[in-house]
Amino acid sequence: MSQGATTERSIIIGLGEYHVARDPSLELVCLGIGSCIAFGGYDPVAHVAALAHFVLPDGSARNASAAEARFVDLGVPLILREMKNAGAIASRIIFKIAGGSQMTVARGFESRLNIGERNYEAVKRAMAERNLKITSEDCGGAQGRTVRLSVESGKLFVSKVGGEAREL
Amino acid sequence: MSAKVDGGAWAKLVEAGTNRAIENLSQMTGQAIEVNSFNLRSIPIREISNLVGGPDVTAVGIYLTVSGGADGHLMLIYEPSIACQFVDVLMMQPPNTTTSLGEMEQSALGEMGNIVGASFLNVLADEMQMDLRPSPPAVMLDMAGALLDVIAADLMMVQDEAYVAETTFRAPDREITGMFFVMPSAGLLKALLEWGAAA
Repeated sequence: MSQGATTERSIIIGLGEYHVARDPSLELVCLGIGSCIAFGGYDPVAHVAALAHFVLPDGSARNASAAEARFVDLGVPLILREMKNAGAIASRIIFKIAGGSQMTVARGFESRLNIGERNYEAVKRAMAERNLKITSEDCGGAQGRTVRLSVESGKLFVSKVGGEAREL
Repeated sequence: MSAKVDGGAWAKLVEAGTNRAIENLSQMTGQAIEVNSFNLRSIPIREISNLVGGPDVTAVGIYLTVSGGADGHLMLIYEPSIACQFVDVLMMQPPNTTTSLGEMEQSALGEMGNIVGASFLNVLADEMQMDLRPSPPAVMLDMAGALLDVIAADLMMVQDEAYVAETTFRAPDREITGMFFVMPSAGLLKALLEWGAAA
């Protein structure tokens, strides 16, 4: 039981991608999240973990592909479905989110580029519609984040520039 | 996969604008800053941060949006230590004076963004007979992925790949190098292509 940490392999999840895993030797990673949202789910009984890298709030009006996690409104049901297929049960899943920053706080950018906040609101909405709760979150502000989810423990860590990784 | 492309006339226009921007930067700083390389690529949007070394690499970004007749994004990107050296040049201080980026230093870098952005867009606007205006600059120090997220989000609304004009430049008598990214949104790309076809 002690070899987990040293044998961990990282799966890097890029913009609009997601990964569902049961292999305890894996960690799922979103690097350098700004206005995007890292959406993590973990079923501690079935040991199913998922991490998605949402980019934009709303894809339903865009005839977007339902097979990727680019849009929050399409991505949340996709992740739930994929986690269930892997053996998870929705009521057991612990959800954690990080990101949704407003990177550009300069004058003139506020209204046009509040994608971070819109992404955050979209996640809240998608969860509320399904009566699901977010257990913990680290969202907003003007800082980037790197997010790591251990498949073995279900622990999710957030780190920022100049800071230590902090468990969420 | 990133593919270098030959965009023809419009790529030459973007290159001419970039050269003018770096010339004006050179005059502003009193340093002989030269263009090292110019590449036009068509690249999956999720891979843009790899051009800077990866999404978790700490970088300084000076970001301007383009508005008016068409939309686009401009960003100067430096390693943090290089940004500090640029601040020394801009504020006419001896090398290695600046070690962190406070309000004054960020303002100096923003001014650099103004010069580069305005010079670049003037060349395009004149040639294309189009109104192209830079926004005020936003100066950010953070993970490269986070700096580029807003641009990626804007482009990924309608496309998977983006054209990135990537210029590296350097000042020979100081160890300073940087990158200048030009990323047209769909509207500006269309305008450039139409201009190129007519040129």
